Amino acid sequence: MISGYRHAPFSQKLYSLFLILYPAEFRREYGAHMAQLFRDRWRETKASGGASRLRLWMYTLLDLIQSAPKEHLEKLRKGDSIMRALKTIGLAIIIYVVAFVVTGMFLEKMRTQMPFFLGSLIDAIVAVGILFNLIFLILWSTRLMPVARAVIASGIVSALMLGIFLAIIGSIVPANARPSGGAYLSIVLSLFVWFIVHWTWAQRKAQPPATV
Amino acid sequence: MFQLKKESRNPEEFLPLSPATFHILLALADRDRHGYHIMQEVERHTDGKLRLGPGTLYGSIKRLLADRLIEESDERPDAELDDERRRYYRLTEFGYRVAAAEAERLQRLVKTARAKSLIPKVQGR
Repeated sequence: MISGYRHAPFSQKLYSLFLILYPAEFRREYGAHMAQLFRDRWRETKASGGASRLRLWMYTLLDLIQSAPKEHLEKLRKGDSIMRALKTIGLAIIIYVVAFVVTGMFLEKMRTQMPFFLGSLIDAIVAVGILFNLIFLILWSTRLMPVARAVIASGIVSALMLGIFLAIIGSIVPANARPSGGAYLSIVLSLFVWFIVHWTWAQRKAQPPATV
Repeated sequence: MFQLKKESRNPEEFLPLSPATFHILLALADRDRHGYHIMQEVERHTDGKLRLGPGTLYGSIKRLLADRLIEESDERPDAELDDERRRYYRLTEFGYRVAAAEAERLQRLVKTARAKSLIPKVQGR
């Protein structure tokens, strides 16, 4: 909060309100200083009377119109890395969906020739893999957290989501159509497999390069 | 051991500077100043023709800090008269080189304009 705001003249309060037009980050860093600058200029005009105050407001509004959009545009340009991350995530979703459909069709054909548990395990590895990798990709590419923490968070979120999904399935589907014990075991194993794969990769990534 | 990082950037990459940027660098060339002082100095340099509003001034300062052409200064030149909430800025060594390169560029431009009789030739040259 800008100090002395409560006792400031109306013009200074109004200018402080206009600062809301700037991006929040910029306002936090420079808002108080900009208000101070306006206050200094306002004091300058005290002796000169109404005309110079009017001129000050004219220049200030012109400055506001020019500089506020500029700061917003700059913020958007800086957001390029987020846009790139979102594009990567979008592309990954498409690849996952295609992989899921193709693998599903292939497994449907092969299911009769496979031992019971192996079929469930492959289904689970594909399905859990899609979920786990997608969550990990979002956390990692948006740099929300360090890679090792992203792996742990992906594991926890995937496990929670699958747990909720299976609980809902268990409550609405008739008993004879519910997933078998083998399917539950496959899901747990798949979570474990995907966690180990990512954790190993994260540990290697975290190691400093070997010095010769 | 502490070692100053050698500046590898070329000042020419920053040219031409916008008028606001060049005037801010000029204002800081002789001493550290806070925002209001910079604004006053720019107005004085330009006979009141360039008036930097708060948004333009602090937007430029933000970019100059990011490019490391200026830095915040801990020294308070007018400690007794000063408001401690004010931030002072000063030119970095690289900022000084960029301002000098822009001044040279403008000097060459003026020379060309003079050669083409756009402005009167200086007496005695």
